[in-house]
Amino acid sequence: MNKDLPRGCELIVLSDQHFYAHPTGALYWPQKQALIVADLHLEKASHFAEKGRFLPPYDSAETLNKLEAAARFFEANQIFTLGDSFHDNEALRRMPAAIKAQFSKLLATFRWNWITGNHDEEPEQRGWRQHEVLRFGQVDLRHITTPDLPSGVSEISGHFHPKAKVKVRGRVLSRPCFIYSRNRLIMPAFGSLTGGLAVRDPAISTFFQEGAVTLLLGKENLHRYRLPPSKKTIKSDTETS
Amino acid sequence: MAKQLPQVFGDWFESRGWAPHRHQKAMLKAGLKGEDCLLIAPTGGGKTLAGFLPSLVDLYNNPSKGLHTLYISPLKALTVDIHRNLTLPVEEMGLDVTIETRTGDTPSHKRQRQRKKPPSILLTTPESFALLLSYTDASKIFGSLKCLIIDELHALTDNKRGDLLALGLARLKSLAPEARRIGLSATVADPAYLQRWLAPCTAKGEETTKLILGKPGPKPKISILKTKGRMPWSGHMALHAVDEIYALIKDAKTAIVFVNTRAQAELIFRALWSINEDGLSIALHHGSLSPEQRRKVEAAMARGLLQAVVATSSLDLGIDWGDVDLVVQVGAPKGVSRLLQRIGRSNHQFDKSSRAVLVPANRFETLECQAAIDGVKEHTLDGVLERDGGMDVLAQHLIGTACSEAFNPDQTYEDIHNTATYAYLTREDFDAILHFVSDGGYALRAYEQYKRLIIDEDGNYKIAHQRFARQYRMNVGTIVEAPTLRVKLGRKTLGEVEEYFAQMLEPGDTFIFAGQLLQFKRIREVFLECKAGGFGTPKVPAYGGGRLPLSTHLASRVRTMLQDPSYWRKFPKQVRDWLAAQIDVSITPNPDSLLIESFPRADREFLVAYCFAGRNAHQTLGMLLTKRMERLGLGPLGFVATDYVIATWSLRAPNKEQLAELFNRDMLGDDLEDWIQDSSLLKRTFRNCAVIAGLIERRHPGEEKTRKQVTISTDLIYDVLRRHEPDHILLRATWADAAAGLTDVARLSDLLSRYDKNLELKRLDKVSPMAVPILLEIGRESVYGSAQDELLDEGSDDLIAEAMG
Repeated sequence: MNKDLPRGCELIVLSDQHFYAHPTGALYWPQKQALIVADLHLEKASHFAEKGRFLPPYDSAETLNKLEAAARFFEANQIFTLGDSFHDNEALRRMPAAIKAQFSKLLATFRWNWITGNHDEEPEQRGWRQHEVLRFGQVDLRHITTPDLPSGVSEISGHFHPKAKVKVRGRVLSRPCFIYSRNRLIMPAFGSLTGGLAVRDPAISTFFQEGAVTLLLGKENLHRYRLPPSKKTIKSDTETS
Repeated sequence: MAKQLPQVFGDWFESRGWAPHRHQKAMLKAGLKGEDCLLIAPTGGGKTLAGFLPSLVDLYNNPSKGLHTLYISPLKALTVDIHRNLTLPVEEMGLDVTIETRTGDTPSHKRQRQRKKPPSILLTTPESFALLLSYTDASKIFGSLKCLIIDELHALTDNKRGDLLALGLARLKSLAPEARRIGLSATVADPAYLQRWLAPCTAKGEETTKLILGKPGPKPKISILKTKGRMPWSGHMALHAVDEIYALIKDAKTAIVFVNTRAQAELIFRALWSINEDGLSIALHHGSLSPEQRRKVEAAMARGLLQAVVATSSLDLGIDWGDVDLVVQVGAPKGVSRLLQRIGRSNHQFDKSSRAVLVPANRFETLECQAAIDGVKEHTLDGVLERDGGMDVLAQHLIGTACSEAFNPDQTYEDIHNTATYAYLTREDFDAILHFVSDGGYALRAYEQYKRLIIDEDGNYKIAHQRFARQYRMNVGTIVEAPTLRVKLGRKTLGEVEEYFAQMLEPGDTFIFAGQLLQFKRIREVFLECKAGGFGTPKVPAYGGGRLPLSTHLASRVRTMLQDPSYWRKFPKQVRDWLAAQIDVSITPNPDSLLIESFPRADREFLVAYCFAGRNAHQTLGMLLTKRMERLGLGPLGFVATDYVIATWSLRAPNKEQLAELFNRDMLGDDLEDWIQDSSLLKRTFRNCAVIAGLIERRHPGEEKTRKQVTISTDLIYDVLRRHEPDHILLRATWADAAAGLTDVARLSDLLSRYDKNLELKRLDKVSPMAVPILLEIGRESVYGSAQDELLDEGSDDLIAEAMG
């Protein structure tokens, strides 16, 4: 653990750039003074409410409070969101007035850079520009990771809501996590009502066949666990059945 | 009688060489008077026929169209069985009566036809009954109903399925005001409660529901297995006695070997087969095996092809197997009533006495077995749990009612409030639930535009859209299971294991399931794929909620017998020696004080309290004790709980004053609330409540196969709700549920107030004989008290720990 890092943070280095992973699931990029977050899924609860499933209508408020606190903690001046910022294209329309006011304040306080996700593809209704990919030097930001990264280029993405399960003293604990290797980082979902996909699932593990590091979100710290390289033995086994 | 029983019935009884039992005549008489009644009779006493006889006679005397009698049983299998048993006399007497079953297994075309043209007698389950009540033609279906029969009533009054049924009954009161009610029950300690439960107006329950008692059967013959081997100090599997169990089975015609958990069933089954030199046909039956597997075993049993079946409570109720001549109870019986129920499975015939052998798995269980035998002999049963109906179930019921017709909230509240189960319900809470059902019930009125229930011009509530009715019907019921995976061996589905267990497996790991040794391959969608065979020590799937706590009644019997050395003659020598050694260094627990021993061991200070309050209450106590020990600076390190005892270990021992403070009854205040709010117990309870109340769904129209994608983590919802609206009705419902169930707060509170001034502290220089078993449990039982984050930290430093997403 590095004592020079901000409280609770872990260092991730991609293409010689330093990033601080934070227990909220946000990532800070000191060189750009930018806070990076993925998958806010704003207004997820009200999306379900429309279908008669009345999840607590506090998810957007929670997510935005957490976002604001993290941005102030790092003294960020800009925010990068890696897509699926809204749960669906109608999210902003459903957002209650009080939350909208809070959101507008945040929009005015920080410089925002939006990446398009698969849940929120229609940016024109919102009046800002969204990007498929943003490249800063040798670092790409996008929603869904690409299989083929050009050599020397690193990438930060979201989409999968990675979560890791670890076995401790016979109990299985499951937490959202950062997962990264030499040139690829997939961020945990930042939204307060977002579930997760196990990092062992082929959808994620296929990108980390050489193994990866996971940082599990704890209350005040991150917990580092290694994901071993994928085992080929499982495959040959299934073919016999 | 001759006057009441038509000729054709009398002739039929005669043709069989039978005469109606006294209680059957009493039921008929009450039936003709139109009285509600509760029949309590032992198994095999012609209880079912007694229930239906009045209806058959009425249908013979006054032939009528439409549904005449509705029969509700907790078991699907029982409706099929009753159908067969009832059809025979009806056909032989040539009665113009139609009988049909309606359960989740009934094909949809038949279910539709049943609504248009109901049979005279419909046999169903509480869930299918709730579904029928949700149709818009409910008033037509039930309008002609004359009689409602609830079978195995004692198995319904202490759980949420019973809550749902009680609410259905409240509604039936307005749909079929003339229908009389009949409850059929095994012997219970407090029939008055069942009478009130059954009554349309609980305040007058004992006056309006007539109690009819069947003749008690002959006394069962029960003994404790006197093992020749060494009696284990701890553990619950009883594998030490497998040879002796095998010998018992070999001598019997057909035996049921009852165990307490599914894991134990798997282990005992395999152990029996490993020594099965005579090739006895021994089968396995538990609730996680696939229905096909279970049906196969049941059919083989019915045809008399099996020598023995190893079973869990999946065989506690129901079906008649006349050939069973021996019941073996492996492990402690946990309650007298439960033991009686199980023993009743043998010689399911009225006039023969049942035979049972109890096999205790450890020394404490020997005490418990003896206490249970005394209880059966003296016929003192366990108290009936008088439960307050769940508010989550009420939410489900209100949606169902709105699906059927617009309802008046005042009238509906009154009907529900009149039931025994919901007599506690205030109008405020009822309104809060109604609010919750309508739009989530949040203080922030965010969802007014998405309402599920709307109010019509008469002030009645009705469903806002038909799609909500479809959602309701796909999710009806109160049985919420932990997420499971289906175990696949090749193309065959063997049954289900909990997802939690599956997550612990690595490819190549072996485990025992459905009596077979299996090797884990992988998880695909909702399937756990495996192949036969493998090496290494196999794991055994465990299932949540498997273990019942020791009943209060049995616990107090055990305390009493421990106090009196002259009683100990009844125990096997090994147990007698154990108790004698105990009084050499300490005392034995007794009913008048709470014995607490304190002793040092391996640099730790141990505290062992002989509370006998059951695992659930002990776990709650353990949490609270360690919290207090922390505050007193004693440096607590952990605790472990069984049904009998709780042990803590710490850096320093408490003195007498500190001990009194530790066990002070006021610990049930803020500490309890703090702990419970944070504990995983409450999150699990919340998940159940959220599913039952319809906050999240098990199934959604069009999304049946992708369960994973509809499931939203209830832990996250719980956290958000607790932070923003801690008084929300669903959190209150969860709290009430947890207090009554998993944490057993009421029992703990009784214990603490009883022994407030009577703590008996024994300071010893080493562990006492009676404390040995609990110390052996350390490491076997999970140790509580560590926060998850601390565990994660611990794991990070540990080489064994490994990311296994």
